[in-house]
Amino acid sequence: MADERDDLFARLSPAGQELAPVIYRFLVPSPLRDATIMRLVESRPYRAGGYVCASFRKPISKCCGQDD
Amino acid sequence: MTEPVFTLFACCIPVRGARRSVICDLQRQSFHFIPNGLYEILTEHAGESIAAIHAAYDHQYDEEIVEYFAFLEQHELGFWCGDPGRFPAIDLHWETPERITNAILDVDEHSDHDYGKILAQLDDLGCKALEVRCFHRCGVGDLRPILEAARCGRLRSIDLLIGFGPELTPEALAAVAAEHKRVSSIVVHSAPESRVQPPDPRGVVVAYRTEVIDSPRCCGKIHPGYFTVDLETFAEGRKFNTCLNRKLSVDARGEIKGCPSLPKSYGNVRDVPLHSALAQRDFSALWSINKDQIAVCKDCEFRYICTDCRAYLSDESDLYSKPSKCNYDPYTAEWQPPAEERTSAGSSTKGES
Amino acid sequence: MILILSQTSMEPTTEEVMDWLEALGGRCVRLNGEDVDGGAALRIRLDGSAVSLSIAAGGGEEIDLPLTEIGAVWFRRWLHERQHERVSLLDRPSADDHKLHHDLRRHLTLESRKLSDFLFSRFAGLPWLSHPHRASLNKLDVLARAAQAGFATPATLVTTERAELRRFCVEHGRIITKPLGEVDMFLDGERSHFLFTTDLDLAAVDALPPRFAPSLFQELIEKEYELRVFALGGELYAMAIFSQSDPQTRTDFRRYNREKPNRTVPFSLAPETVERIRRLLADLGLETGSLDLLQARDGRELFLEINPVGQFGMVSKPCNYHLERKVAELLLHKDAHGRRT
Repeated sequence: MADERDDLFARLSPAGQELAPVIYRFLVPSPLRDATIMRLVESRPYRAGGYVCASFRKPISKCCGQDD
Repeated sequence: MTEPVFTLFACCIPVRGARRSVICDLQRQSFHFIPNGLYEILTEHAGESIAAIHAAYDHQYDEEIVEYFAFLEQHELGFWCGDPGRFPAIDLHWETPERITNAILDVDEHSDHDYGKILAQLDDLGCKALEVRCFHRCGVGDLRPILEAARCGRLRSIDLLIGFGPELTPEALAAVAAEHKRVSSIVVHSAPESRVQPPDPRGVVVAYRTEVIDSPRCCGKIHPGYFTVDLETFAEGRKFNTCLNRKLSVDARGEIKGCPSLPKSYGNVRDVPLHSALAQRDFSALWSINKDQIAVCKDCEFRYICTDCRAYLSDESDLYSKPSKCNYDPYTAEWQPPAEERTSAGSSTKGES
Repeated sequence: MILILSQTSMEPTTEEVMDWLEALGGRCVRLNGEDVDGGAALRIRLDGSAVSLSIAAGGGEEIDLPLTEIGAVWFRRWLHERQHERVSLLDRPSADDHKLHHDLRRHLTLESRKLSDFLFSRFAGLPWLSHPHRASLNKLDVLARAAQAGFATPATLVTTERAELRRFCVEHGRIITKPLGEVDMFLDGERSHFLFTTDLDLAAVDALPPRFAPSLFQELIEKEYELRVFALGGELYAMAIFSQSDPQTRTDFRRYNREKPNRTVPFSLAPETVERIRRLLADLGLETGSLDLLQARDGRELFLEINPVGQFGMVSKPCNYHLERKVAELLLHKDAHGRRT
């Protein structure tokens, strides 16, 4: 994803660059997708629109044999 | 500062077996085999300098001991530390606000479950994870009423184990998982050929297996593929049964049970609310049988990462006997190959997330 | 009843605390920042001195917030970005609309802030766990206060001058820069730009223009490990983060390595450190917060910063501290003792 839009500081106007603190020269771009793909659902009783789903930590049943 | 001593990271916990030990890396979800001699060094000689440990073994094993620590350091299981007192063990107390953490719902072609009612009652009990097992040939239409009923609860995960039907193409199942984001995995049994789809960007796995899973009797298998190396399971397993603790099941006929493979029913879900079944005196009787109490398992190095089975026992008259579907022998550290299968004891990591 | 101020999205910790509140026999009601920003049907009525508030989120049924029953408030999250800050307000913006757009946005921000302030003011007499008015501390002020509380702190410079920065860099070897205020990220289409703490060497300093906007610099400290300490109701829960051995996380552990996460283990604080933290929290008037400390190679233990509404899931889970339950218990205690008669 290395393109010129990655460098936000370079995209600032001369006035913007002058107003930006030094840390703005070292912004780290990352693709949004990688960071934020989560299974988000509605959970009415808890009034969360972005209720986070994830696999259960252990097997619930054990019907399958071992893969080779 | 005193002489540095080797300290295991608190999330890397050694467990001794009859013949060998493992270090369970509860953070990175893997385990490493170590000889029982190293287990002894890490436990009985914890907090001692390498010189003191060499001396404790009369300098018989100086070289091996150096190699042991190099191995541990290389796998980032511990570190050299001048103030080991600052790095306490993890308190392995286990507790959870949910009255039921996980549930099994069995379905066959004769089932007539009221999914809305069952899911709402599970939600009231705080249930976070559900496995739906359909023993018959399924179409996408069979899944829809179940998943619709689960649309707004507190469930965080749904695993589907369903019988193959021609409609169940990878595309159709991917669409199901995309629409119902609680779905964590879909395993299709009785499929014409086995194949595992690459996980979608959210980590949902769709797999086809040729095995026929047509009744609860297929359950209770014990093998490294089901090992779970994580802090919560490890902590739970020290005190509780890692399969049955806070589990509730509704079998294909609607009978409320701890597990569908267990004989005892606490009433039919048509007539008995789940919370009443749960309140019956012996519903939770098996919850507290932990691996330290089970014959053979208590000598097994895998005892806190393996999930138990109390339905199929090697001695049906002994509630504390080893699961009958486990063929690992901790006294020889070998998996006895069952009829046709070959299993590997050498794997040291498990990529479950 | 406990009022929880949160957000609708990605709040598993809020949900776990709610599960514990319920399991422990408590009652709670959740108001999300989005609810007062157009995300829900909202009705606030002032009838003489009586105030009523009802919301209906996501087309669901209307909930009357039982304002008079609320005995304690947990400020967990709120809006950080308002709806109007995410959109272009003008239909066909032209080049000279810049100021107009800015003024509209600023006014709308003030409007919705007033509404939040009104809600917060309704619970002014109640015990809060974290208060929005204390949700943002000044990093430099806190550093000075931490030093007063007995902590070692990193040498710190705020300057606009390259020459000054160069002297600082020569004096300390390598240095870091970070924002004066909050760490943040900028969403930008398909990507985001993160403000991570970044280290600078002399060459990087020399590449800067002679003058720049006021920026914060600190000496770079060779660390043994980092400490994250969550303070709650007088207790401290500490975790060590071994971020040093991984080049990716050496300067800022938030550049997570997901394949091989940094080791995060329980830590037992020295009694002097506990004393210093207690003094600092008392000075800042904080009942809870998340502190960042650092154990340096040279033996020093340094204070870095404190977040008054800190995340605690990242400490609770790896160390098995059960902080979600402890937060619930503290809220129940406040609710029982803070209820109006």
